[in-house]
Amino acid sequence: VRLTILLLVLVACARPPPRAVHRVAIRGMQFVPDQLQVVRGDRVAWTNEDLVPHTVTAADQRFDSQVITAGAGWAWTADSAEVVAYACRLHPEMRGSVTVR
Amino acid sequence: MRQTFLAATFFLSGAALASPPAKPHPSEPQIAAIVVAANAVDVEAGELAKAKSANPAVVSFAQQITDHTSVNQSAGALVTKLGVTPEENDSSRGLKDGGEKNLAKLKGLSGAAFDKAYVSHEVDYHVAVLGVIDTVLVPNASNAELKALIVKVRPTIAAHLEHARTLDKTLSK
Repeated sequence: VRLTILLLVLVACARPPPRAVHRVAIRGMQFVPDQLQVVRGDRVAWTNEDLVPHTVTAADQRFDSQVITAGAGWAWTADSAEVVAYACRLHPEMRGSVTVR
Repeated sequence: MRQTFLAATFFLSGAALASPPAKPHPSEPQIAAIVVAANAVDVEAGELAKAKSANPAVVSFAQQITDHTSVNQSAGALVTKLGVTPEENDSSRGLKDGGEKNLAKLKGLSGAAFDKAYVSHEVDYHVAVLGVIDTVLVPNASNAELKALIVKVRPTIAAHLEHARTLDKTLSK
């Protein structure tokens, strides 16, 4: 039994911590929440709850979801520590940011 | 520009003059026709702007017509589901007439004058549509799904208005 526990502890320590998935709703022409803090390796998943299409497009163009139709979604993995500003290409007043630690 | 505003607020002004009844009460089929007309008018203006404008910011703004297409698809699906046949009325006809007058005016313009007239009208038009949503459509939509659709569309119209206002300011510089 002790050996099993020891093995389990070793396995748990060896694995990287599970990646968190952060959900952002695109609702009422806004990103909700519009500011997000995540850890490197986490995933951010946007879901379009509006009737109209949107995009999630980084200000520096590093990512672009292309058009996300009503009810559809798109996800991105935060790979480096920085602040990533983004907006909807179709509605430039819609802005958000992801702070990656 | 004012014609559209007047047309869109026909219900309000008509109601103010007539007594009683004190308030307009468009039926569900009439509300559906107003929603369809409001979207169609802006799609036509946007198509013209995409064809005529050489200003990338104006063309980009005109791309918002995809929103109106999406809204009308949702509205079309809902009225089919509810078994409602849109019924033309003074308000929907007013929107269409105003839209046609605007198109006729815009077709005679080009370059910066076209851009300015198109965007300036878009500001007025979206203000008028928001007024119709708040004072006519939402209070009178008795069907919960129809009301929910209109409420859900409102932020899109408000965002278009902000976009149009921002663009209008840059064109005025």
